[in-house]
Amino acid sequence: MTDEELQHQIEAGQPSNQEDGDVYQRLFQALKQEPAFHVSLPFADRVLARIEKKEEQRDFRWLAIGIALTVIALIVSLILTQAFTTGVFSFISGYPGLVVFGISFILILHALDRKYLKKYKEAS
Amino acid sequence: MIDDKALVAQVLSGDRHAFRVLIKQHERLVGHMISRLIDRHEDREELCQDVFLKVYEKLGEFTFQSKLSTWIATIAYRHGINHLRKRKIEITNWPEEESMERFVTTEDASETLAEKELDQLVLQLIEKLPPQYKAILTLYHVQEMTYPEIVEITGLPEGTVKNYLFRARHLLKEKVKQYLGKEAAL
Repeated sequence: MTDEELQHQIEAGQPSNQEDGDVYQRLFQALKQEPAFHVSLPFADRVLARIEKKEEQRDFRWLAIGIALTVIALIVSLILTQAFTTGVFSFISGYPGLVVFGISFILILHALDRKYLKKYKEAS
Repeated sequence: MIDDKALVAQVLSGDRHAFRVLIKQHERLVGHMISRLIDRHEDREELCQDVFLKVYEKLGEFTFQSKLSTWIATIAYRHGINHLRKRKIEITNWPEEESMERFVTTEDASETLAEKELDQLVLQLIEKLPPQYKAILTLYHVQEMTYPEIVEITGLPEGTVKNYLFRARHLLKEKVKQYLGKEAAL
């Protein structure tokens, strides 16, 4: 009898007079043990907290996209209606490079902050 | 006990308590899968959490083609395997003979062999097996899943699943036999 057939025989609950049959019986019994690892007691709470946080972040992302779209729409409408020529806009329109630099600087600063803050959080 | 369809419907309707019930029902299964695949103790809990986050996100795609537990085990298995691949850990390499030998030769032979000791020895030997072998042993012997269920979870052909199971049990049997022989000789 091959070893594979012996495994099947023991699994089927048939007795075996071979030495290996006895060893397999004890082994199969031992294999039923659960691994020692168990999740922590507040495991479900932690999962739910992560879900809530993720959903909050998703809401915030939509809010940020909404604000960004509104600002873009405002800029486009200002350009289309040539409103840049009145009031404070007439001053800003004189320095387009400065405006672009200011916006880019804020965005880069924000991106770097997020990147390094995330790394710092992960490290700690 | 609430059935899977009703439970899933409740979770999808936004019932957080229902999802807590789902976690409680399957945390052992996910814990077993992840702990058998992942050696680093500190990674296990977080990976288990990741699995349930994925379950929550993908639950709407679950079509009841299989049991809910099989589907969750599939997510756990794939998440664990992906984690190992990212860390470039080999998932099917057969263990070095010496690493398996260590547990047999360094046991305190003066102690009598109680069932508990054998259980402990088997657990230690299982830890030395490649992740996929460990996962298959767990699904078959601890979770008592069928071959088609294990095939669905692992994505491996049935022949491979049977072969891995046979090889793992054969190796463990040889080591246990060696250990028992040593005990009897004393």
